[in-house]
Amino acid sequence: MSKVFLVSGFLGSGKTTFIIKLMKYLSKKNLKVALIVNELGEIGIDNQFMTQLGYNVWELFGGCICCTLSSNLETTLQELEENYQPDIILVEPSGAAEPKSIYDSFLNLDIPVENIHNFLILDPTRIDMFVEILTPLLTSSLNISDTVLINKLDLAEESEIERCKSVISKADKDLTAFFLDFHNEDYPEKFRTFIDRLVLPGGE
Amino acid sequence: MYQSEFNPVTIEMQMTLSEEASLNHWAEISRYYFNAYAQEITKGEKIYIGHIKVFATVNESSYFKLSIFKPTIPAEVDIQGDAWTSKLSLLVNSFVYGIDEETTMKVLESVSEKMEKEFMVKTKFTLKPVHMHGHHHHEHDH
Ligand SMILES: Nc1nc2c(ncn2[C@@H]2O[C@H](COP(=O)(O)OP(=O)(O)OP(=O)(O)O)[C@@H](O)[C@H]2O)c(=O)[nH]1
Ligand SMILES: [Mg+2]
Repeated sequence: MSKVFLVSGFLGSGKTTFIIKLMKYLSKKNLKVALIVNELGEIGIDNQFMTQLGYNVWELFGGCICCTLSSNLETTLQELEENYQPDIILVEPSGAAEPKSIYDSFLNLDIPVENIHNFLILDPTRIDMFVEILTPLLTSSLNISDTVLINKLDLAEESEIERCKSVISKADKDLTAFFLDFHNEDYPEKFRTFIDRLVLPGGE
Repeated sequence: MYQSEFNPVTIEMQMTLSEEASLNHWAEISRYYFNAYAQEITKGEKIYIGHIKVFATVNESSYFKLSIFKPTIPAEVDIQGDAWTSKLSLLVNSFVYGIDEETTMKVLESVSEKMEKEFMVKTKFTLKPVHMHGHHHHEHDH
């Protein structure tokens, strides 16, 4: 049975950047990875970009994955599981989607919770904006996530990182947090160990 | 669901120069173009960039992706390949809070004019009309 990784995060936070790198890393470990992408807008850009880069991408098109397309998501997950049997299915919802309802789709399909891992990418360069106009989305995203990735370390101010830490510490649950620069060639040792534990058979 | 505030505006663009230029040069022009676009579009109160993303292609192996997510951080470009061309096709998805299609088009027009003067680059663009696809673009519909 596949593991499912949901990679959520607001528009432009770095979901695609994270996923491209993770796919490279996982394919080196000979793991079979499938990617489901949903993007708002008349024509998807991430789908084209990742397909050009040579990845297997299943695009959910013509609406939002958290509302009109939730049944398409369920069908796609089922089909992947039956016909392609990936070790890992990555899901990149639109940056405007509500991740909670996507998580609910996973549960509807009876995917065991231990096979689901929710990453939240928290872009520190825009933490002020999130708090100012997107607090409900931020709160519900934090509530369903297991791991928070604070990226753009190379661009963020110290005060923005501190604000992220404080937002995370106020969440209703204990969250694992990593501070990363997604443009770095290699993962820091700690993060690599973490990913290895998640993806290896019997891991997590 | 937050797309009602961050509506995507999708535009197809074509840029032409009188001579062939490298993909790197095109990336430079595009960076300049969209930095100007981002500065212009965020003038005013309560306007926030969600993501301005651009995909430009010359052929199968030569293309780039450009991103702007904050007005104070210049565009970043991820370039693949090195084709030369005098004509570049771009696809733009612009998610900016507080900005409608009309304003988007106006700003593109003014930036294009400036670019033609400064860089002799001609720009044509068409708005891809938004099909509702059954999802709600307004918050309170019944
Ligand atoms: N410098 C730096 N840039 C980053 C980092 N992570 C992401 N970016 C940049 O942020 C921009 C947006 O990244 P994407 O991966 O396209 O973001 P996304 O979340 O997939 O965006 P949408 O799919 O539109 O919601 C790109 O220019 C990335 O290169 C980071 O750690 N450091
Ligand atoms: Mg993306």
